[in-house]
Amino acid sequence: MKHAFFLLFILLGVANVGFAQVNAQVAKAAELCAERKYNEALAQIDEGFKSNDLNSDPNAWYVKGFILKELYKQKEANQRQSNYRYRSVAALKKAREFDANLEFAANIDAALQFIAFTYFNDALLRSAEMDSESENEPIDLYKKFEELYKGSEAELKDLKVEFNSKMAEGHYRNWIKNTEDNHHYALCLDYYSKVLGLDNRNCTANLNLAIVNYNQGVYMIRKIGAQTDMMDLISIQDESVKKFKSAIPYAQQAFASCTPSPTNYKVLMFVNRALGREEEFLRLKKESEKKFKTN
Amino acid sequence: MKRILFILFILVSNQCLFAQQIDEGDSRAMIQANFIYQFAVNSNWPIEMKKGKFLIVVYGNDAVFKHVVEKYGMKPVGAQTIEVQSWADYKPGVGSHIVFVDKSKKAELAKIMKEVKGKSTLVVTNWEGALGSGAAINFKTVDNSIRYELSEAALSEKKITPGNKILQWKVQ
Repeated sequence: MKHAFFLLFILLGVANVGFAQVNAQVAKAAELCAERKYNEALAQIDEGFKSNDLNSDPNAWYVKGFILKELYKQKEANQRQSNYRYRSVAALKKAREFDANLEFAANIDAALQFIAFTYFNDALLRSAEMDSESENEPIDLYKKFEELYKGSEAELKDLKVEFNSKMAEGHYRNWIKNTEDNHHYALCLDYYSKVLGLDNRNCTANLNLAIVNYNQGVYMIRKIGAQTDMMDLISIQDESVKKFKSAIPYAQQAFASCTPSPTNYKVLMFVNRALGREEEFLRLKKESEKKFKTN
Repeated sequence: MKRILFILFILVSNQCLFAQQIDEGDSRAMIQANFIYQFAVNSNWPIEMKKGKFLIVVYGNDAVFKHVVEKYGMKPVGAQTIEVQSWADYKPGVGSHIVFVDKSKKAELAKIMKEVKGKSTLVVTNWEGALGSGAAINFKTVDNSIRYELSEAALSEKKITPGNKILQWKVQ
C-alpha cells in the first residue's frame, strides 16, 4: 500500500505541481498504475490524449511512458524489437520536451536510463548469438543505449569497453567456425583494438589480441600438408611468423599488467616458442610450473 | 530504480576475464614434420633402399613424431609406404631412411653417426653446429622461421641425392 501511494505521488509529480493541476484521466491512469493494472492504465491515458489537449502535458507523457515501460517489462522483456519499449521511449522523450520546469526530469531520466540499460543488455545478448547476417544488430541496439544513456562518462567508458569486448568475442566465435574467412577475424581485431583505445592496459583485450593473432598463425600452419609445395611451405611460414610477431606485444602487455595466471604464462610461452625463442619458452615454462604448482 | 538497473546489468554483464582458447599445437613441430616429409619425397635413395617400408625415425621429439604420423604417415614415398617410429632410446641395427635427432638427444649424435656409418640414412638435426658433427640436414632459425642447411658432402657419402627443391631452399 505504501509503495502504491509513493508511486502515485511520483507519477503525478504531486510534490511539485499539486493535485489540482493534474488532469483527471491522467490521475486515474496513475492510480491504475499504482494497482499494477497497466493495460487499463494505458487505455485510460490513451483516452485522455484523445479527449483532452494533453499533447503538451509533460505529466501525461511521463505517465504514458511509464505505463509502456511497465508493459514492456511485463510482456516483451525478451523481445529486442519491443513496440512497448519503443513507444515508451517516444513518450518519455515527449515528456522531457515539454517539461520546461524540470518537474519530472529526475523521473523521466530514471525511466529512460532503465530503458537504456535494457538496450545495452540486449546488445550484449545479441553479440553472443550474432552471425554474418545479424552482425549489425548489436550495434543498432548499442546505439539506442548510448542515445538514451545519461550516466557518467567514466561509467560509459566501462560500458563501451564491455560492449566492444563482447563484439570481439562474437566475431571470434564466428571466425573459428571458418578460419578461411577473414571477415570476422578482422572485425575481432578491430573491436579489441577499440577496447585498447579506451583502456590500453585492458587485460582481456591484450590477452585475446595475442591469442587471436597467434591462433591465426597456427591455423595457417595447420593447413600445411602433403600437397604443400616447398615454396608454399616457406611463404606460409613467413606469413605465420608475421602473425606471431603481431601477437608478442599484446602477450607481453597482458603478462606485464594483468594478474599472473597460467593463461598469461601459456600465451607468452607459446608465442615465444612459435618464434623460435626456445630458451625464453623454457624459462617461462619453468617459472609457470613453479608458480602454479598444484599440491 | 537504481537497484533494478543494477540487477538487470549484472545479469548480462560479465566483466571477468574472458580468454579465447589458445591453439596449443606446436607450430615448430608441424613445420619440421612437413620438412621431413619434403626431404623424403624430394630426395633419391639408392635402389637397395627402395624396398619395403620407408622408415622415418623420430628420436626425442614426441610433437614432431605426432605430426609426421598424423599428416604424412599414410602417404607414399614413390612405391613405398611410410612407417614412422618414435624412439625414446636409440635402437641400433634398424635400417631407417631418415633419422630425425632432436636437440634433446644432442649428446647421442656421435653414437648415432657411428651406427649409421655406411648406411643410406639421412640424419636430420635441429641445433647449431650439427652439420659439423656429421648430420646431413640441420634445421635452423632464420628471422624466426625454420629453414635448413645441408651438407652435400654428407648426403653424397650416404648416396642420397637431394632434389632440386631441397637444394633450392637450403640456407648457408
